[in-house]
Amino acid sequence: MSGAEEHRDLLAAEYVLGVLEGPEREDVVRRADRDNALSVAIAEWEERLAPLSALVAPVAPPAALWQRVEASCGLMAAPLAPAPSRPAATSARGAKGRGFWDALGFWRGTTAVGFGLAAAIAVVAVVNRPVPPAPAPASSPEIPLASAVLAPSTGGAPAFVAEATPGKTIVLKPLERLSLASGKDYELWALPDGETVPKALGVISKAGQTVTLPATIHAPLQLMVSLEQKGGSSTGLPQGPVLWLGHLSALD
Amino acid sequence: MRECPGLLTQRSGSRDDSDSELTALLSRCASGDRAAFRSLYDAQSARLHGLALRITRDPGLAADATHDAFVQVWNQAVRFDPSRGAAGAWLTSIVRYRALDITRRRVREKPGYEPPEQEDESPDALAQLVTSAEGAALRHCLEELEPDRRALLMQAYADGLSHSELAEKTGTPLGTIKSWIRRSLAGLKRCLES
Repeated sequence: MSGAEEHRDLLAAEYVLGVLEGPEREDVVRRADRDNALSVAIAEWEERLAPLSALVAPVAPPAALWQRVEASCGLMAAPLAPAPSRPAATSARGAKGRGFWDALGFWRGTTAVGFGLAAAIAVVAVVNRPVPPAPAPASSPEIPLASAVLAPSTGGAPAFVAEATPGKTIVLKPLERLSLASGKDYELWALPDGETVPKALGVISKAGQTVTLPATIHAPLQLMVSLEQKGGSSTGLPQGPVLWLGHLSALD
Repeated sequence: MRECPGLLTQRSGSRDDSDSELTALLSRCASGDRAAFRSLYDAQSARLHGLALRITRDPGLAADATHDAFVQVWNQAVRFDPSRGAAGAWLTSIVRYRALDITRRRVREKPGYEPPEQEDESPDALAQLVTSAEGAALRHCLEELEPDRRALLMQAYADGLSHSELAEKTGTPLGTIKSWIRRSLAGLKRCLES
């Protein structure tokens, strides 16, 4: 093992052990997304140290936690176990979500996680900047007009932030280490508000990339990332589950 | 509680018979099978919640971490790749990282926040590891380390203590802690691979 390999392996070990903090820890997460050897080293250390988890005694979680998990995953519609205290707000949210996805009709059925998709569409966070009265000055191209955070429809951790930049382009940046099974790809889709058929924007790198949108696509729109076979969906519609989505209010 | 497969031991975090059952449940979760998700929850929630509680040292934060971890498991089951590691270890990592993030954010946001003290590991804690072949090998290799170095690794993993928290707790300079941990981890790997 070379010096660099050894350093990478120890960094993975420290990350898994949990001793890194703040920027050091975040740096490993970012690097692992680009550096497959680091992400493999992390997986190896996770497995190597996993028996240590037996040091900690199991503790039953609060009884209501399952219902909370179920609600967050959008699984409340037909509970498997009696769920006596279903919060009204959650049901309403779920119903709204189903309506939206029903509108997407025919392609919804092709996804592998129909239940997940039936969940509430949480537009988790849309960061809008005021639309400038004139085109943004060339000196500050780094300030996006609008951005969207792409998160699971069921409310888990966001995976990408998408920023609208001049020239009708979107810059996608990953927020966490994304691992992609071999033989799979992430594909980006745009679904303009009011439309029912998503448009394919192509396969994207898990390390993020810049995508230029066709002139025919107009904001506001929903951006979605689905998991597809290598090379992307062959039908022009998502075939795999939509993993993350977010709403983009404007394009530049 | 519906299905509660007896083989899915709550203490196991490593690859063995029960792990292939976990892998099968995760693969069913990936295709949207809610019954599989419920079985996975029944089988693993106490084990994972125990880990979250130990790291967060706060019942509310631990419940948040366990909740987030299961939501992540459901959403990312399609991304679990058994060729890269065992299912139990994958679940363990998800809840540990979540608990670490939540705890450290709390410490950052509330500078005065002091999590309650944790009891030290009991001397026979290592005996707990012998629940699988991997656990026995790891125990053997941990026993090759100096007792104080071994204790550092166990505290870091189980209690989620960072370099600086370990330095403060043991009254040892930060640089020394870092190099002790690096050397211990390197030694552990050598021993496990020999």
